[in-house]
Order: sequence, then C-alpha cells, then structure tokens
Amino acid sequence: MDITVNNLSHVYSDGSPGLQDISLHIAGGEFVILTGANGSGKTTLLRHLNGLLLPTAGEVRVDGVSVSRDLLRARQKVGMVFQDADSQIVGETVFDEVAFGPENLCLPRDEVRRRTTSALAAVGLLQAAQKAPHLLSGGEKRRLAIGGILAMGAPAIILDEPFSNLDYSGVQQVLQQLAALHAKGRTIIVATHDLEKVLALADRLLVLAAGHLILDGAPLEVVKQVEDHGVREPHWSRIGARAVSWLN
Amino acid sequence: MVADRRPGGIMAELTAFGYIPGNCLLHRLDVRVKLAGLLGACTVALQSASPGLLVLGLLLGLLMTIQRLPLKPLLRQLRLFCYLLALVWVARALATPGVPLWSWGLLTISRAGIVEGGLTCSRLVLTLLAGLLFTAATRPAELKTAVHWIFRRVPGIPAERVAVMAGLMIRFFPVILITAEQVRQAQAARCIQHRKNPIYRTTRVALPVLRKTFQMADELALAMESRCYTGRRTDPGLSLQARDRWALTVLAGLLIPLMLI
Repeated sequence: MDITVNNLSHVYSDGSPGLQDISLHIAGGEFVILTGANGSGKTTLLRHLNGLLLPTAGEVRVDGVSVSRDLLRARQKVGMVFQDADSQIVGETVFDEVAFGPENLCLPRDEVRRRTTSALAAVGLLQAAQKAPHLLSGGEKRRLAIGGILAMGAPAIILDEPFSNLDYSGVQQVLQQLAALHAKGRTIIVATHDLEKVLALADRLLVLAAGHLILDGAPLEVVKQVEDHGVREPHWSRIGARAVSWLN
Repeated sequence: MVADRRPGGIMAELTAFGYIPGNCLLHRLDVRVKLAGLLGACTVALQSASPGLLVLGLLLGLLMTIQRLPLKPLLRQLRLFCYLLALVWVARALATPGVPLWSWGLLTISRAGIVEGGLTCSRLVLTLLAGLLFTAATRPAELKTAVHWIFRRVPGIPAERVAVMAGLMIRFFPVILITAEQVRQAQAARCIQHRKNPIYRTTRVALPVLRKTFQMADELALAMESRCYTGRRTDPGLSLQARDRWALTVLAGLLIPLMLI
C-alpha cells in the first residue's frame, strides 16, 4: 500500500506555517523514520497521512485515492498510535479497547471478536484481555494501541514518538513489535527525535526542519547530517560503528 | 502522565471498588437482569419496613458469599462511608422527637430517634451493598450495552453516542482522580499548605486539573476520530438465556412481595 504526498502545505489556524511544499512517496512495506527538532512539523505531517488534518494546499493519496475524498478509508488503511498512550485508550478493558476500531467499522459481532482476538495475540496481550488498560505498563499500552490498529486491518501504521516515557524494557517491547510487523510486510512510519533506539531497523530516514522536508534517503547516508537540524546523531554513527537498535 | 502502578498505589485503591473478574452466578447473568435486580433491591431498601430490610439483607449477604467479594478491602474502602453513617445515625437520633433516653443541655437523644437512625442507616447500607454487587459482577462494557439497549427505544436520543459517553465517563473517572492527586502533590511539594486561604489553594489545584482534563478530552476525540468513530457502531449483542429468565422469575418472586411488606 503506497502513500503519496504531493506539494503538501499546511497553515495553522493562527496563520503560522506548519508544512511547506512537501512531496514524498512511501512504498508499501517500507520502514520510515521521520525526524526533526521539536516544532519541525513531524506530528502535523503524520496527521495528514490519515486525514486528521487536511492540507491547505497539495494532497495526500493513500493507494491512489485522495485522503480528503475518503477520510474513513484513509483512517482504516493508515492507523495512528499517538504520543500519549493514556489519553487515546477508549475501552474499559484491553479487549474492549482493541474492539473499538472494528466496532466503528460496523463489522458483525463475530468478526469483531475474531479480529480482536487475533490482534491481541499478535501483540502478546491475549492473556490480559480482561484487564483494565490503565493497569498495563507503558510498553504494554503502546502494544495495546498497535493492537487496536491491527484489528482494523490497517496495512500502514504511523507512530508519533512511540518511545516517550518508556523504560528500556518498554522500548524493547515496542521495537520487537515494529520489527515483527515490518517483517510481515506492513508499512511502518515512526516520528521520533531519538534515532539511537530505532534507526537500525529503518529502510529510510526523513528529516524535517521548520516545515520543510530537508533530507530524504538511506539512514546511514542521512544520519551524518541530522545534527545540523537539531537531532542528535546516534552514538554508533558518531564512532563509526555498525548500526544497532536497542534490540541488539 | 505517569500513573502510580505500585500494588498499593492510587490505581489499586480505585479499582478495588469496581469490576472484579470472575465466573460466579451474577457474572454470568445478562446485564439487563442484573440492572432489574439492582433497581428492585434499591426500591425495597428505600421503601420497605424492617422485616423487608432483614430479608433483603439476608439475600444480599447470600449473594456476596456466592460472589466471593473480598470483604477486607471493601470494608477498608467503606471507612469514610461508615463515618457518614455514624453522622446520619447521630443526627437522626438527635432530631427525632420521642421519649428521651439521654439529654445534655439542649441535646436530647430519643428512643424513636435511635430506631429511626438505625433504619435509615440500614437502608443506605443495603442500597450500597446492592450497588457493590452490581458493579463487582458487571463489566463497564456490559453497562454500556445496557445503556444502549435502554436508550435505543427512546426516540430522539442517539443511543450509540450516549452509550459511548457512559463508557468514557467510567473509563476517565479514575484518570481524572489520578491527575488531581498528582497536581495536589506537585503543589504540596511547593509548600502550598503554607497558604491559609482555601480558595487560593483550591483554585491552584482545580485550574491545572481542568486544563489537563480538557487537553485529554481533545486528544481522545482525535484518537477516536483516527479510529473511524462516527457514532454508528456494531450492535452490542444481548440475548436472554434460560438462566436469565429463571433469575428474573426468582427476583420478581422475592422482591415484589418485599416491596409490599
């Protein structure tokens, strides 16, 4: 499933520019990292990919269909995990939380149950199905959010700062999940300024600065220039070592 | 937001009063039957005379034993409620006219007042126990389903939306309490207790809590939208089984006579 962004610009309601003339193409199955300093437009760009924000100019296409034309389709195809896992949890139990998306698609009850069970198994939370979500650890909450998206059948998953407020084990849980989903052919787009943890898993690195797409290329080529744009270069890159993620 | 996840932390204290997972009799019943039972028990508790209250007490006690409710944590949670009951009892004993048992100056406790106070407290305790049994055996999702079932018959009310709102209220109540506790602790760390003005202290806690709550509501709305929430959802499945019909018959047979006592 391809995502194409053509000359996308976004101006916030107060008149300040958010994104300026961004064009890019993300092929199905790619693992893309989007980085940049705070306020560079990472979250704004992600929110255009599933229609939570609509362009002031330009367009975003998901599998050839304009996001603005069919918002529900875009949101079904491109699932989003927000930065604050707590404030996006809707269900009172882990099962209900994952079932929320399929229920919104008005699927038959049996299909909702089948998808929910399968998504919970995929993120390793089947045993916790009847637990209250707020009792899960940080890493489990992120996996729960990913499970909610898998249950909707989204072929692409975008994650906004998925490692914030997570301890080492939580980061590893999320990375394992992302690596497994990528291996199964899902498109993964991660916005983060913490390249150290995840860059070694990625196929491509995008750098945003002040709403402009400044750099786009293979991680090992682009990473040497990220410090010019307010992002710390990973330690392994600084010392010229082999790329490693926090999974290694 | 960082929640307290220690076993004895804020969340653990809050959840002891909610749904307790299990597979006992009440857990297996249809939520509508449980709701009818709750309404019936509350009606009996509020309007029956002492014999009715005694039978209801026995019935609730039996159900609590069958449900294996953890009594110790519940009693710990009910500490404040016990103080309230004691206050109610004393107030009724002092305010009800009758043959004086004890008097000191203007304060007089009457025999009728003690009986009246005991009766009022029994009604409150029985209502609370019925509510406890209901919440301990009913998942919030079932309650949401019941709300949907009730309101879908009322014209002009968007049942799906009301049900989702009811579910969100249950979901966010503990989160808001945790936020309030965190803000209170943050203010205490900056010695707010040295400010004697209670209005100043309250506003310094209330405003950040409100701000954070509205921010969470905004983020939640966005997250729901991104998961295709439009108000139309899969119909919640409800079906009355044979055991539910039996339970309804038994409940009606017990509670209706009690209401008439």
